[in-house]
Amino acid sequence: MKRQRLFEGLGLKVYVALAISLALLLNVQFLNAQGSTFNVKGVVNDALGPVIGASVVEKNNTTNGTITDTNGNFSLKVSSNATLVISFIGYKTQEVPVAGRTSLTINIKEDTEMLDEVVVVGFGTQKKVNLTGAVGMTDSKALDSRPVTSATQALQGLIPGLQITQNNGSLESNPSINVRGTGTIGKGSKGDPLILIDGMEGDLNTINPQDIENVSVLKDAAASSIYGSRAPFGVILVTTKKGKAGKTQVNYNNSFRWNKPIRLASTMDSYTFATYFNDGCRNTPNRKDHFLEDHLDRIKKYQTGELTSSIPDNGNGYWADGYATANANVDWYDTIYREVTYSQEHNVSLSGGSEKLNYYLSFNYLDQGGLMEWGDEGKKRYNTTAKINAKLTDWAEVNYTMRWTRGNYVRPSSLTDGLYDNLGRQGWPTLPLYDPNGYLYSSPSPALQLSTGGDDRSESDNTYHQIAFILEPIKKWKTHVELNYHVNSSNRHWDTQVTYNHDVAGNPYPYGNTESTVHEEQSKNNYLNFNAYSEYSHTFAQKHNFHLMAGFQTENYKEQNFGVTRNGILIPALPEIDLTSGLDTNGKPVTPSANGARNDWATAGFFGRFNYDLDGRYLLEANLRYDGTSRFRRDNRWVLLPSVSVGWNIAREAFWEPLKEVVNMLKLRGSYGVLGNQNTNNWYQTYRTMSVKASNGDWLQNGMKTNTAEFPGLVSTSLTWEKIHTLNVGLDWGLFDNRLTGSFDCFIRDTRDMVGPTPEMPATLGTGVPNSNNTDLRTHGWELQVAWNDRLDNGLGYGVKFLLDDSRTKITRYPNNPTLSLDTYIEGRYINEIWGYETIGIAKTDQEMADHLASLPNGGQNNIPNSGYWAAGDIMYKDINGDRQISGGSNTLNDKGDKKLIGNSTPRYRFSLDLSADWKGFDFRAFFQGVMKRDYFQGSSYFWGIKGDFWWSQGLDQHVDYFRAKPSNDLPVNIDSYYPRPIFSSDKNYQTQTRYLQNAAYIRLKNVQLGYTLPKHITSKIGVSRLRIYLSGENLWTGTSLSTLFDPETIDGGKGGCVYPLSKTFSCGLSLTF
Amino acid sequence: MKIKYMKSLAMLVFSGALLTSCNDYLDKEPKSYVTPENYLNTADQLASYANKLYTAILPSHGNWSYGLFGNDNQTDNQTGMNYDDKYVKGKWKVPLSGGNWSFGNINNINYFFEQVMPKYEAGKLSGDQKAIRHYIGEMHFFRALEYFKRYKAIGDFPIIKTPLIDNLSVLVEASKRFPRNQVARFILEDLDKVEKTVKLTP
Repeated sequence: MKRQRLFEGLGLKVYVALAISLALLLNVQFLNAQGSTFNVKGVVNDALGPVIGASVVEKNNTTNGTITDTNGNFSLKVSSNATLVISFIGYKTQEVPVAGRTSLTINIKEDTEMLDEVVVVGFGTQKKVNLTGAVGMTDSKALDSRPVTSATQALQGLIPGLQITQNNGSLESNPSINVRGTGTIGKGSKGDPLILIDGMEGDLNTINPQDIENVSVLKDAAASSIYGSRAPFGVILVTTKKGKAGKTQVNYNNSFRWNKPIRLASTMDSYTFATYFNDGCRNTPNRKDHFLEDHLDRIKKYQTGELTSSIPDNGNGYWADGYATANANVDWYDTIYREVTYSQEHNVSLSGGSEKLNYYLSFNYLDQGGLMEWGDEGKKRYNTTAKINAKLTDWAEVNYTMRWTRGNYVRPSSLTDGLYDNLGRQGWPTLPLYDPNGYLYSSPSPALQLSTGGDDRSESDNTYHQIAFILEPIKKWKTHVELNYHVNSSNRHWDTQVTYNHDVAGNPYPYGNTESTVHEEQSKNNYLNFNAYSEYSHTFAQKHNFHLMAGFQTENYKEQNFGVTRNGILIPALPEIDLTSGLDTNGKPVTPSANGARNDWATAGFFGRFNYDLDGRYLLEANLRYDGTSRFRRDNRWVLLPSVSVGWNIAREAFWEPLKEVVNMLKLRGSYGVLGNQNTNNWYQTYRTMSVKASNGDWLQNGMKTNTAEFPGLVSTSLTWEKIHTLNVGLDWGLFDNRLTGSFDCFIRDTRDMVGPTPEMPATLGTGVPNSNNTDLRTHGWELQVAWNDRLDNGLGYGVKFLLDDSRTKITRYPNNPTLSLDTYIEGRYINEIWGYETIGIAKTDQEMADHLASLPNGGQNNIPNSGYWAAGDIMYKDINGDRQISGGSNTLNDKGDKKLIGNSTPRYRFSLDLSADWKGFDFRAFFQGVMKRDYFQGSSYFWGIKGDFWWSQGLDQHVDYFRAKPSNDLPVNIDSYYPRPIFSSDKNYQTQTRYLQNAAYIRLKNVQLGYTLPKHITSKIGVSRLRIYLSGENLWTGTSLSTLFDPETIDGGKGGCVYPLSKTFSCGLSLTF
Repeated sequence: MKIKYMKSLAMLVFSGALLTSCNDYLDKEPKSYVTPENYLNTADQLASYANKLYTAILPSHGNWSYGLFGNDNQTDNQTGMNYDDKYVKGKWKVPLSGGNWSFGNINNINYFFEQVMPKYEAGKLSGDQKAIRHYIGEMHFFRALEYFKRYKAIGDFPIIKTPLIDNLSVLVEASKRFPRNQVARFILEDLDKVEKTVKLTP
């Protein structure tokens, strides 16, 4: 206590000295504002007593302010005619004129109905209490201090029904964004939501996350139908910060980050690996040990240090074949990925201005390091934003926004999905990383190409211009005219360089990449968007509130790109097209390949909205949109999309009055709407196109290849719109003075007439049957959000927010699977079903297997392909259909043999839990996110180790737990193993089955942060209005029962479950506001 | 009141005009794909179309095989890697699809005639007129050859002269087989046209 006081005293002195010198330097105003002021004291109370931490500010002088102490008291120096503004979260802001009084008692009232809370909706805003559609929202606070690389990542788990999946940790891959689950399985259409940044389509991955003010997600048709056929699967509305009238505010914040890979696999040690592969060989008919006695001996000796050479020489001046002879001990996963990588982010923003003219400027810089140990890998992002809002006259306002982003990304050319395969099959621990002379060595193995095989660099610039006029010539009649323009310009360069191994004498020779090439590509996309809409609101008899809006929207998008590739880099350090020879390694000319194209699309739409509410109790909203697109021809171009929603604010009824003390807000909502989907992959789907190619004919004429042209495939004569019907019912509530709030939504979304393959037609058609609108699906689900926020008398504020949602998709029409094959979609069944055998277990002895086979006299387990001889260590499958044999039947729903439905890989019950607390300047947040139910089956060699072909098998630490009836080298007997006995080139033990079905449910501590905001009375003395320092961590802990080989978030990414790992991030930084 | 009506009428006319102009604006033709409308207009384009059919209709070599020489498999000259089902009891079955009951080449040729003949008759094809006639002749020859193959293998066969659309009843109707003498006449008709058009020397 003493010590603290001493510190405070000392600190105060220092601050005072600093403040005075600063003030003298800057000639700050507060010194000469002394004259007519006097001290006013007061207490702020609410219904329960004093309010702690309420803000008391002098009106029109926001720098002069304080907060109430633990007894609700405040004291402030103001002039005698000043007005105080008292505000506190959850309370109505109150203005009190001082009028010469020196002591005030102010009673503030809780804002029980949150009347002022406004939600951004399509073409406007709406009071939250009047909302009838399903809209989820979050504000910038939830995105604060997250050490992530994009706003998309930070949004994961913040809004129920908004599903964000990052299934690859690579800096190149962006998370996928989806609203309410599977939207379409159609051939050639997309089910992505529309992302609008300040009303204009934009890229959420490149926006400066700190520019975001709030995010709304329009989930049902009623909410999104105002955007028509561009938004059948929801809209994400991002609103960015804008300038506020008042003193110029400068904010600088930074974040320094250290990333570590999580759930990274590791290869077996070399001796165990050799033992494992030898055991696999012995179990496989007609295969001899791969690692012979002397080889094993060398491996062992290298491990113990008796031998230093990792690879013998073959006597001809070269190193011997790595796979056949090398004896190194390398963990390739550990070698390829770094232990830790460093990143940083800096952000500066300025805002200020007057009521007539205000501005917001921001600059952001992110430098994200990659986890790749070899070659160059990293990502940089630069953002600038400038926003000006100006009131031209009493009735006209203009807003202009310019946003510029640049993304730079570099990676080794060979860091593609193929690496995830190669890490396993070419990552034998016995292969040396360096040859005995110290040169990087490839047997082939992954490091050499990553290190010297060339780079892939890309740069993508986005420029957005937005200008909007808001005219209000007559009160309550507003017209908005907006013009938005977006230019994306990107270029990409990659080169593959010749890679070299070195012989025993140290002379290089080409190995791996034997050709060198340079590729350059450029693309430029232009997007123009014009919106004009007008709205009018009126109230009759003080309770009939009408609002009308009508408008027009058009978009035009043009893309153009070209690329060229040429062989023969002359100088490896200068990989440019100009410096290529156009020859391959043998000196033969290679025709450079070139490509280029331009495409465009356009839409036009008329829309209208009608809102009516009776005294805020009964709410009605109707939307209508008439949409046309360039993706259909005139006869089928226009589509009319209606939607309607209703709401009932039950808590505002007279009969509710007795309950109002407990339940302040209760609203029931319902909506229905129809939307079309114009987001087809083929922008020219109604056009027949001919494949015309130069010099590719197989029939030489005069010694030359000829040009060819082909019959244009048919386009269905009946091709039409895919339509989405959504029914939504929801309930919102606020209890105990809105401390307990929440909402529940339940929806059915039918996607009808998706384009799919058509059943066969008579052969006389003479060509492929064109796809037609013939597939339907139904996605149904629900979303729950519950939050509790409170502040205790001792000043401790805390909050808990829990989100939970679920969605499932059932195929309701699918004519293209008449046999009901289990390999594809089946009408009437949920998607992502996993069909497989039930496992009895691994036979521990040959006798156990013999007994099991004896119970299956009609063919044993021999119907399983390549089954061969069944013995101890093999899987015993259960005879489910009782036909005394194991078979998969014809793999159809009606003849599935012993297969049954063992799981479903759809993620169910996505949830998040957000815990936050603050007390006397300290703030804490822990954010968990996860999936409660998901099944997963992986048939790759990454999961199984030895599986399939010898050269595609691998050995990771987890695979050591394989069946051994007798000890093998250093490995003891293991008859209670997880994995069956390893066998090459046979799938008999690796069938989809219950024993190896993974439970991919998980909970992850996505973010935990601890911050401290220095007391205002200290910081204000050095001219800083807010200073916060913080520690923040990302992905710190994961709870899952999934095999440690996999990360529950990335099981869909990469290859066979092997993927660039996600990372765990530790960060620290500060946020400074002047 | 009148003014109100006038106003709504004006609005109606205005939005009507807007819709029409919208339609012009929304007509986006592919810029980087060849559509049938702007192809098969010149002699060399006809040649390209014919070239693609050479390998499909005339005896030819494909990848990964020894092509023409494989035609002697399962004769007394040579045998293939796999046995011929013909010689194994119960294995020689009519396949579900393919074989000679195929219309791909015939459809491709008919499409050519459908596109080219009206333009030819209207004199809209540009390039060497002799060459144009030659390629039209080549197409007649291809159709005759295709039908001759069917005539040999099946005999009675549907005679289809135009490309068909994906309409079940139309296709079923078109699947009716014509008597073999009519098929033969059809072949001769095509060959007559070949005689009149094809240049024997380039």
